[in-house]
Amino acid sequence: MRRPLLDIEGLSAQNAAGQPVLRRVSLMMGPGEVHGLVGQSGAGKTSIAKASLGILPRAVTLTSGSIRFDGLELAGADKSTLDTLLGADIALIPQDPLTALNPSRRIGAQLTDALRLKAGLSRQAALAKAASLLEEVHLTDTVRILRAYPHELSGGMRQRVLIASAFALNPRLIIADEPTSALDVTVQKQILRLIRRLQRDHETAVLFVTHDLGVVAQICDDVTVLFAGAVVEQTTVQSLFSQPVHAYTRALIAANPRYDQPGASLRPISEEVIEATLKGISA
Amino acid sequence: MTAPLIAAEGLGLSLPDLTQPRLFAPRPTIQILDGIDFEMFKGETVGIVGESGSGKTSLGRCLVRLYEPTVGKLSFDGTDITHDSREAMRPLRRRMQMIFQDPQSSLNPRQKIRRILEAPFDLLGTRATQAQISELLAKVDLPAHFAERYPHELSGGQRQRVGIARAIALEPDFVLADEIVSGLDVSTQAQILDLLRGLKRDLGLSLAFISHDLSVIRHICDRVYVMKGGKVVEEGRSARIFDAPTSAYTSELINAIPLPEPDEDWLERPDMGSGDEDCKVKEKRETKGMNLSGAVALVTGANRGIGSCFVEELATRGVSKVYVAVRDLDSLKDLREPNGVDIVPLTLDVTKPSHISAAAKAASDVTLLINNAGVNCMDRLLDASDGDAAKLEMDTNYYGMVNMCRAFSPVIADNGGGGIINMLSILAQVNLPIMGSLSASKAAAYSATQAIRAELADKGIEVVAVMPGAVDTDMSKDFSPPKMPPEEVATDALDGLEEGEWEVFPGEMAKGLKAGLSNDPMEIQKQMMASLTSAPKTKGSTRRMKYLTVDTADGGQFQAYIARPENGSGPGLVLLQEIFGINDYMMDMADHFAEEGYVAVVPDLFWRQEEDVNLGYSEEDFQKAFALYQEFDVDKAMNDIQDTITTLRDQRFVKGKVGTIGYCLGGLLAYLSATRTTADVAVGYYAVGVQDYLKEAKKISCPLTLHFAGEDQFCPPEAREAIYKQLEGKKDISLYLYEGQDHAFATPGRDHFDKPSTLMAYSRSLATLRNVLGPVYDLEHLWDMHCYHEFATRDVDATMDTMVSEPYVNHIPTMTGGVGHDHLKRFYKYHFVDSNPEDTKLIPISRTIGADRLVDEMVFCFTHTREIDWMLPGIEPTGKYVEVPLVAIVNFRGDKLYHEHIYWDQASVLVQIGKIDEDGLPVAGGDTAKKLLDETRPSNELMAQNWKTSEGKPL
Repeated sequence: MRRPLLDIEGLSAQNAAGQPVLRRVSLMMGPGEVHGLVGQSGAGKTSIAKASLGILPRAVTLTSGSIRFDGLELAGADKSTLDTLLGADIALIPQDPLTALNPSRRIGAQLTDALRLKAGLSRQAALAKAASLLEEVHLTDTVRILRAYPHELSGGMRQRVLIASAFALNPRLIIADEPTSALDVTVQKQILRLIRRLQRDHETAVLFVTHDLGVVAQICDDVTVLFAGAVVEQTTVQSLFSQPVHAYTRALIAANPRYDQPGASLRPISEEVIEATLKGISA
Repeated sequence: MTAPLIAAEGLGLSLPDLTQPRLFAPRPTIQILDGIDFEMFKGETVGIVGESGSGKTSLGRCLVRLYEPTVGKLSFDGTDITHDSREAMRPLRRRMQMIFQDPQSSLNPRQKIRRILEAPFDLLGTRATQAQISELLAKVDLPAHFAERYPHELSGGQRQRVGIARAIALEPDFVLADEIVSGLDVSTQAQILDLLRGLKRDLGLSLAFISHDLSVIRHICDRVYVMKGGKVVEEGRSARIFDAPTSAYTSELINAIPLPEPDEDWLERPDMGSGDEDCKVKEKRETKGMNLSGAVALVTGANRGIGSCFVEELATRGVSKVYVAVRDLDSLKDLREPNGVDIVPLTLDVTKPSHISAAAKAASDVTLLINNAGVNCMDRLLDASDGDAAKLEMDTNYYGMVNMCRAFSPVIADNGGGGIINMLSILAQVNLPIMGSLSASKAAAYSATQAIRAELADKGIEVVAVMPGAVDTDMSKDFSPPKMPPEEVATDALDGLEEGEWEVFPGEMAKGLKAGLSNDPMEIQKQMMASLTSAPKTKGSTRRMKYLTVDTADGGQFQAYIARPENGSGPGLVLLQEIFGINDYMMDMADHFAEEGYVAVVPDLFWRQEEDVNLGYSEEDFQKAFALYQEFDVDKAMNDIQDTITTLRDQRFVKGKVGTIGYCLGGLLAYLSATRTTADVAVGYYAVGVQDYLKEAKKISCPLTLHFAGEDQFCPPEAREAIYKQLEGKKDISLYLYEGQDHAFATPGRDHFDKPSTLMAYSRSLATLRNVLGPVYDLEHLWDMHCYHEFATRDVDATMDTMVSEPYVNHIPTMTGGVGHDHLKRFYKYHFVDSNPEDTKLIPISRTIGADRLVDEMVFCFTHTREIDWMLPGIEPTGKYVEVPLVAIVNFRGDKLYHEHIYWDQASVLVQIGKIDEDGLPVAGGDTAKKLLDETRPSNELMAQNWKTSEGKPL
């Protein structure tokens, strides 16, 4: 393997009550790779994403382990180190495009903030660059979109704007936190396609957080299955679905309804599997 | 074949388009559902699937009759329920139930699960037993002890089980489940779907299952309706739909689902539909925009925040001059003066009509008005959270804006056109629960701006509405982020003006506004009025306890009873007591004068002898009163009165001058207040002992009115003669004698009370007070408020509130209208406020304002697309366009409307709609309106023959 771009090693974290949020999580990503983080709510997906951005909530503290981005330690890094990295080298595509945008500022003003601050462009140059970024995410009506407010765009368009914003400074790593969960299924497909094309064109690595195994199967190279803050299985997407090793992974797959397998009864994840998995984690 | 349980035929639903508020006509509607045929049979599970905006939720709501279909037919178990009232639906409610998407918000957080599950039984009028609740919980696999828990103690899946238990409590025939598993983890989702399937089997339920998730639909539904854009695009058995969809849209939906097995080609496989979603933004440019180069701007509230940003931004855009208008010029000392632009400071309080008209005269070269001034309770300008404060905010933020627009639009038009920017301010006091805190006033200000814009469109004035949302200024420190920098608000607003984009209308505010507009305007207005009048009501109940403390020059302190007008402020009036202290009569008179618009106080003038004297008119009380009077020190009392006047002048809520009015002993004190105090006017009733103080008559320094009773033993004829000799005929002094009346003729409850003399003396007193103190009511403002409710909010109750209790309206030509409250309210409610055609327009021509009357001359324009009860009753719509001159004469009593007389020429209306053949008749049709607007159009054509006879005759 080439030198890892993101190297998380033995990362543990706990909340204010002292309960574990992450338990010795290790994860490695090479440049240009798409890595899925999958699990049910509370499994720790978002905590890993936030830790990689240095934006864990105050109540959560890292207790051990490291997060290295291209060799640079992010765990416990000071604010100025993170500020330099964020946006420029590591960018975020957030889950809810409506709350991620300031509702009272025009798209143009919000898209140009980073270009002006981090790339030092003038207002006019930043606006021109923003327009070309919008074209890259297939938003061709750029003049009006730059003058629009977030509420004037559809959910899909807002997500495109945020993708354009994430790719604005050509980062090496993008953290995509459930970027399509709020979208209709046809729009989701378009957005996934867009993320993959841009990711391949720019050779960007993407840490893709989702609860949807279908999305994981279609966009990721590797995948980490999380349960209760711990890694239960880490493998390539191919082998995850062809030969899932862990009982929890198998149960998670079986709980998903599939339109092409109507006869199969849906099986909730059983108590036994959950107990056995918890036991394995604490061991 | 059995009959369907539910059947819909050609079902359509239109709802008002909340994005398009209208002033004079019903809102346009948008079609939500269109031509839906739907049926479901007993025991069937039917899926309704579609993407957001497809209409699936609306269809569900029609099926359970939460919405009333606009067209088509809906039946339940063979009964037509399409238009059943809520009452008629009640017996069916038991048989149709709903499970909602979000159990968190559909379960009352303050009720235990037991109470939530008991509620359905209330519908039957029975009470659920412990056993029934336990059984219900068991049906959804929850332990019995969950009955004692609250919703927040449950997980999402458990809450959804409670939602299901509630729905099946009454063993319904039909259950509608709307997105009930979205938001749940797959494992929980599998459990809930499993549970539903079991219940359906055990209870024989018919289930309509709404979802955006086709995989879930496939697993649970027998049959599926696929919806898009309010229509059903495909219907069929699940297997058929999924295996062999006939519509391209269904195929696209299915193919867009990512399956949990890697498929390298899936993402790049072309969509069968139209490819990428429609990524267009609505064109916002509506006019050609205003060129700011060389413009002269006036900015209100220019001393800080957005106002000062406007001043700076204007300078960079080639504006030649900026009037910076502020309440207090001192507040401008920190204003950075930008280069290259002439800055002219101007004092302006937008709550004062006189300030506004003076400003419009002083700044007669303005071409751009920026209405930015506003107050809210958060900036500590207002210390009390009461109706007065709310009124002040209304006055500043709403009426201030409207009045500024009215005053400056002719100025701007005279200067060759220009623009107006209205910053739609927040009213913090008028915080209505159903609207969210930010939207109430926005909705009002927004619709006013729309109306202003419509009126000014032909005058070359661009009008821009700006809703800045939370701006990062010192006033917004209590708002949570996100906020926007104030410079950006100014930049955006001016961009909008230059580019012809009339709404600069960001997200949060738009959301708030929409929330506001989605509520029933009647309801909003009712709440708004309730919130505005709540404080005065409270005051009413506690008014006997409201006192003002007066510090005396000699170091003492006493109380004065105070009564304030409904709007909180007004000129001051000091009521001077008889010899009975601050008794009910004095307090009643003070309350009465408060209704007339004065801040009325009754000082406790006996305080140096005994505080809080409150005596009646019994013999015993009279003895005590007389004893107090014997010891009364007139000179000290005069000092106390002066201190009362001074204290009043210092009050924030005392506007303008201060006068005195006194009775009996107080009559003397009133006379002396004219000679010894700074009172601006004095009125005395049957004064006692004035003759002893005639020496100081030459010191009378303000208008004075004295009433005398002919038979008054306390002011015998010789005393009266001396007084008349000294004062009669002097400038600003009026003396009135009431022959045959005795002392205290104006005090109800006393032996000598005489009503005709009381009324006469009262109107004379009021004339004196009004002359000096005012208040002069702004009849124009009152009329605007009335019209605002009549046309903009269409709230009949609020409209009635602007009128006296028994008003009347008469449309002269048709004699339509109403006399008295109930009659008129019925007319407004059912025959007027919502009964004008869509394109109704009023073009104002002139307005004349008299003492108690206002006359509006206008042209009334409409297309006769509906029956107009008040103007053309009984005439079917003709589709003809009509323009007719119309005159409204409005009469006021105090600050309320008393009556309206509306005149127009009905003959010319009838000509225009083709109901009168004008041939041979002296009527003129639409030409009357045209000639009103253009007096140079031909005259005397109808009298052409006779006109000829005077040709050439000497003039």
